[in-house]
Amino acid sequence: MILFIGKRLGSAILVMFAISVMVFLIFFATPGVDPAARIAGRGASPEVLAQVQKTFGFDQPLPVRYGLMMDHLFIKQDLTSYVNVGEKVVPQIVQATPVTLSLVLGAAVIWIVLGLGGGLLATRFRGTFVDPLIMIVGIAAVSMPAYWVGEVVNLITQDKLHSTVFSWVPSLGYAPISDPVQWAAHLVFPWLTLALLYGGIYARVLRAELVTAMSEDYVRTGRAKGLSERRILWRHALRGSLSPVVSLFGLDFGSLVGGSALLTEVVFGLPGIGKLTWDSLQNLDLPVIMACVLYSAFFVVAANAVVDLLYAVIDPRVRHA
Amino acid sequence: MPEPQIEETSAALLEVDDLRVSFRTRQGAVGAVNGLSFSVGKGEVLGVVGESGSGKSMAMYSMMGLLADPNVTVTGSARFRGQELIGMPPKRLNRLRGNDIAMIFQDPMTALTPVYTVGWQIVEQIRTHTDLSREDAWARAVELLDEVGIPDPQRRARSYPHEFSGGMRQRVMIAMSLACNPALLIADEPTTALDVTTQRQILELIRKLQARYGSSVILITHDMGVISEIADRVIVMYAGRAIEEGDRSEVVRRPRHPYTWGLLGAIPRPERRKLPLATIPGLPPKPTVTTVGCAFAPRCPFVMDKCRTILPPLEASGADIDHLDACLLPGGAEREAIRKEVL
Amino acid sequence: MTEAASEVILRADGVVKQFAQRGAGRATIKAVDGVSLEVRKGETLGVVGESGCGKSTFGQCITRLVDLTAGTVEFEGTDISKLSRREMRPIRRRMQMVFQDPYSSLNPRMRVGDIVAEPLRIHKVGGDRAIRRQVGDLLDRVGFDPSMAGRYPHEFSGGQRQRIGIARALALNPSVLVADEPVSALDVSVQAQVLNLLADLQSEFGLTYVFIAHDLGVVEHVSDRVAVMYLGEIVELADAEELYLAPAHHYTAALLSAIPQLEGDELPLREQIVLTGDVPSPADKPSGCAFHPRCPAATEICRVERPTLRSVGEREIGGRQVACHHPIALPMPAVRKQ
Repeated sequence: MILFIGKRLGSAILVMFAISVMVFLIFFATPGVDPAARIAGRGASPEVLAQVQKTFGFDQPLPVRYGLMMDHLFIKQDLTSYVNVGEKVVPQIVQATPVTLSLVLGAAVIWIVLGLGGGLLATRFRGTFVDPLIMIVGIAAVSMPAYWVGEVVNLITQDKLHSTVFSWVPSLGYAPISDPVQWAAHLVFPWLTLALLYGGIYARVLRAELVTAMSEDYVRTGRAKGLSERRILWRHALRGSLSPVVSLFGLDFGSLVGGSALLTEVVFGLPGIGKLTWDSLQNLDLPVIMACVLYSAFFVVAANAVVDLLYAVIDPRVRHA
Repeated sequence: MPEPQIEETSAALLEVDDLRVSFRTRQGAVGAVNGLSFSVGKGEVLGVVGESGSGKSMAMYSMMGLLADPNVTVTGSARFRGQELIGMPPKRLNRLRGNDIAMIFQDPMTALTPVYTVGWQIVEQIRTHTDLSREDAWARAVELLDEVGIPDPQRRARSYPHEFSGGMRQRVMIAMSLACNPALLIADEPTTALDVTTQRQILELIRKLQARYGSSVILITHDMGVISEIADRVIVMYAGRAIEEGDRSEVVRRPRHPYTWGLLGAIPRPERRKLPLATIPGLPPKPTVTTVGCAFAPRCPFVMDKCRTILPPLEASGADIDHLDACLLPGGAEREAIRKEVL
Repeated sequence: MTEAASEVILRADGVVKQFAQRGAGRATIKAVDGVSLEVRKGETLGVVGESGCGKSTFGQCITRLVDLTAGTVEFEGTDISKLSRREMRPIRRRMQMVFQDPYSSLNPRMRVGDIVAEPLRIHKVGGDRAIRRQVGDLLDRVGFDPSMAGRYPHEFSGGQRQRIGIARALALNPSVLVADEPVSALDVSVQAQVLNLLADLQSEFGLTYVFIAHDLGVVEHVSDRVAVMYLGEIVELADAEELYLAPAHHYTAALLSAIPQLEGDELPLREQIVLTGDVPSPADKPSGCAFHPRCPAATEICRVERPTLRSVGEREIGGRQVACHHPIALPMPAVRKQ
């Protein structure tokens, strides 16, 4: 177990190192990017430019510059933006994280319930109208882009029906969790919007897995043992079918927390990581990009480690491999 | 559990009458079992032998309600202790399955749920049908594992199926099937996936346990050798029908149906090393083709004109009235003479 | 047997095939652990053993479908164990394989005629018309109407597909056919058809067979000599009839007694030996004699020292070989060597 965690931590550090080097190199290899010129401002004199280059260490060789940036980011934690001079990067990340986490965690709970429920129901009622119905709803949910659903939801809750049914819906934005009611009220529609998309996928994946599992020999054994169909489905078929769902969840969760919920965040005016990454990319603001990317990589790697752990819990065969 | 009020008039534990299983396919209805009748007595080992597609497994699965496909139609009757199994509601069937009638299957690799310990799976079986506490059921599971010859059962009960070899897994399956002292054990090719030395062990085990518990056994196999080792009575199936039935030594030593002759002649025997094997020309009929008359007629070396129009009934044709066959060839000693020409 | 018939056509010497095990630990499995034997022209050598005994891997070693870890394989006088793929090409014409699974060893998207013609085309034997005629002949030889050439594998049953596989193997007129479990996926009646066909072809074309199977009954029936394998080693090698009548190795004896017997068969008097336990995994092979934990006659030496394959019986050359410290006494004179 300790070995496993150690290995995972090691690989996480390795991945983050590799990604940071790549981001760094790509940034400085991109033509037309001169951070000094950006910081110094338009039409700065050569002296000022040189001064800026010196203070920010741009005159140093690349490896040293990389080292300096990592030092400022992780150890001194005072890395500042190249664009909004003086604004520190780390607090920005710290501020954006709870927004994204709130959004993704809440949505994840909903989509897991929707996905598992949909998959189980569809399998249980295979051969009746329920199964295709759930699957059609699922594919429809998958097919609708999140930003479009978000806009429609906003149109209804903020505008058309805001004076009647949805009068309780606060205006767009984020409220910290210190006031749970406001927090939830602000997030309930973003949650549902995000969860709709993923719930559809998960229901379909789980149903496919369950249907395969239900034709396995051990299901036949279960029937021959005199177990009820419900028990066979829940105790025998479901457990093995969860593995692909869990790995899917790891990938989705990791990348969403890492900033992939961008569209949802933008549509609902949530100042999360996705929005932060997007803005920094627009401005080619290396410190912020670097911080966001590393943060995101960390979550993806961490989520995958958790998935591997869950795998071992679900399937004993993995434990010994 | 309330026992059925029907009195057990005969010694038969299971009586199957005109069982038919058909599948709805794009090419129309396909008959997998076409009117199978047999009975199993108390404490008897019945061997059902046939090649793939003969309907031997299908017949058992249909009786046990294991063909959950909506395209399957099962008709006829199968009475277990007087209770009709065909069409029995699932709730009642579940009280019988695993309790009074247990099954083991061909491939022990896939027949156990991979994510639970074998102890857990046996406990599940016990607690489905009894009120035993978790601890007592566990103790019983360990006892059962010990009984089927699994070394260190206390520890092995906590192992997962993939940690066992094929033979050991089949032992686990047998332990599980015996958990509720079933009156009938249906074993579907229980040794086909195993090595010969392991097959020998499993056959010995089934024989030993059968003697101890006095259960009846239906053993389905394609291997005449296995049948010859363990069965009291044998049914030979072809194209969804029984074509020969009788005491084991009668069927093995004095088979009466040309198909059985072919089946026995095809087995390589040491004393006829390097000599050509008897073969059955052609292939088993496709179930999509419905035949009038004897289904074996197209492959039969002794075919007569009437074989193609008359469906031969399963009846005694020789001195032994319990030895039945479905063939239109002359009976009695004449048949015996024909057999001696080929086998 | 004539003088020419005893000419050695294939010789394996100390063949070892090692596989790296997956996962950590970097353990290796010796699937084949020092197998030496000779195949004589025109004979059928049976190789029999239970799962994990390395018989299939050995078959792939002698046909060079896998590379050897150690040892040599000599075919018609040339050492083929180190030949490159290209150098193997002309050899492959002379040595063909038939596989177990008639369902997966034929390409489902190719017509049967093309499947049989493929080796001819690869080796550029004759023009289109000549090939077509030859394919017709081959199909006819394995019992098909040549008009079947246009059909696809799925239109055939298991036994028929196996016959197509045999036709393909015969296309280049090989001298040796290595058949790996050619009938174990087939029903008994169909199995007999294929076995008879193989026997006919052998006498017609003077083929040499290496017949690999788990079913000792089948191997006994078709073979002149039989090699019994256990955990990667040959434990006994003998004339098929002698082996059947009087096994010298305890494992052979157990295997023989495990074959389900038909009632009424006249059997040699034989003790029923029921082995305990299963075949151990080759990954943790027992020390000394690999069979000792299951052997009824094992003593201390069996735990420590690995027995070598040595000749027993009256014939020193071409006679019976057994790898056992305490072989079962043969019911013939001049057995005692100890």
